[in-house]
Amino acid sequence: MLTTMYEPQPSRADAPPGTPETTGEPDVPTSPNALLARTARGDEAAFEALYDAAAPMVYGLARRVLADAAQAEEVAQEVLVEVWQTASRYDPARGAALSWIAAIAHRRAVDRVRASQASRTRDMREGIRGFQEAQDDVEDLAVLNADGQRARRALLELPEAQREVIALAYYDGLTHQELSERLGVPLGTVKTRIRDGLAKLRNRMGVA
Amino acid sequence: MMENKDQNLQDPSMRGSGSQGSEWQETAEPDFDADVSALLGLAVAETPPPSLKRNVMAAIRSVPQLPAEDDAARSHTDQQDGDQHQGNQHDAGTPAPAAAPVPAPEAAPVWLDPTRRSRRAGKRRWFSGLALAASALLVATAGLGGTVLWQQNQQEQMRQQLAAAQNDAAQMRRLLEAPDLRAAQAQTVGGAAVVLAYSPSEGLMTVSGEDLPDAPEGHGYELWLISADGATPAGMMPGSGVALVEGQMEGVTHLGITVEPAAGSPQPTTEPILLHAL
Repeated sequence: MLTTMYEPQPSRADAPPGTPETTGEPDVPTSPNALLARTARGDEAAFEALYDAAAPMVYGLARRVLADAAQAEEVAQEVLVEVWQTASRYDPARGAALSWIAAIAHRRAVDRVRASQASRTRDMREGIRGFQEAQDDVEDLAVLNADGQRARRALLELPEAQREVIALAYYDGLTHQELSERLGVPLGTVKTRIRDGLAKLRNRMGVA
Repeated sequence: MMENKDQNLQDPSMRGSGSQGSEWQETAEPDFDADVSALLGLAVAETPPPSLKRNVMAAIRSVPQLPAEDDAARSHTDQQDGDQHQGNQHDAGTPAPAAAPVPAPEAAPVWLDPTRRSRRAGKRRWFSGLALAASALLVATAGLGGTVLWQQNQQEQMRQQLAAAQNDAAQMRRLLEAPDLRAAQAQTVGGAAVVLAYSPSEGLMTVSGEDLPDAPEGHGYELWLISADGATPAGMMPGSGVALVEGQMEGVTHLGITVEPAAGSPQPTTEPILLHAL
């Protein structure tokens, strides 16, 4: 029942849209930004290509936040359909298409986890452990494109304390207060660690 | 207009580096901007199950797109206006149809979220009806091979979406507003979840079975409304996984689903994979 009108170019696997190697080139037709613009005009083939570029990030994020695979798939579907539906609301002046999609995905996943009772019984540290184990998972790394590999490396290179607090805040959706209680450190320290960690991440992604 | 935006992730100059500290002192939760989201999202990317793509691609065929928003400030000012038709026809660059979103096959459907819907301000409420009439006229014009306002494929796409969405939206609205609206969840013998929403008084039902595995080659899932008189065909489950059934529902005691030839059968010919008491 799925009619595939668009076959992704083989090269996309090696050089996904938006990789830093394309710096200086004009906007390529298969970049997520261009695909999202075409999606806004009702182009299903463009949306399918955008799906291929964004779905691993959306699903992975939902999976990490929600822990439960079925719920993650549900949320990922909701997010991706929302991308289709609201593509015209995307403003390229305010950031990259993938960033816009990631922000939607994160918000929806955290909303869901907060809404569910499961969030209270879940082992909050599982996210971090899973994250560290994934480092050695070659097969898993292979699905990441260049941006993803760089992002994961950047996160892994953070000092443990900063990585922990960012992972708990971002993937587990903990508030400052919850982070402070969980980690047994003052609020100010929590905020400083997050701020410094994010600054390092940005810097690392920026100079990479 | 979009050149180099893909480099946002790598270009530190694109981000407001000074935007964190002071604001955070006031907020309960850390504020992750979109680029950080992309970074932390990409870091945990994993291959989604194939069913996700299948479901998403099927869902978008029944979910109309929102028109471009010309004034964001107006978008949420008219939550009370139940008008399902957005009628935003003045933007010829946006082929989105003038219709409410119809259901995505999803437990928490986007179309039920009021924040998803764009609304004109109350004073412009009349515009919806007018635009609807105008769009109907456009469709008629297009059908007669009249003035070409859009390229051929866009015209055809819009015509189809508009016709289908208007019909579905009107029925969905009747269903959602029915005083006897009921919802139920059932399981097929194979364990797939099927979600029903129905109103006997309106004679409308949605059947959502996006978990259903693909039917055997040349076959599909046929729905049946079952009463003391027997089983009445209620159509095939469409590829989107969400069926909108219209028919007499007074006296109907069960919903049944059987596997039948793709064209459908006048009577069930196989054991039901689902028999749900309404």
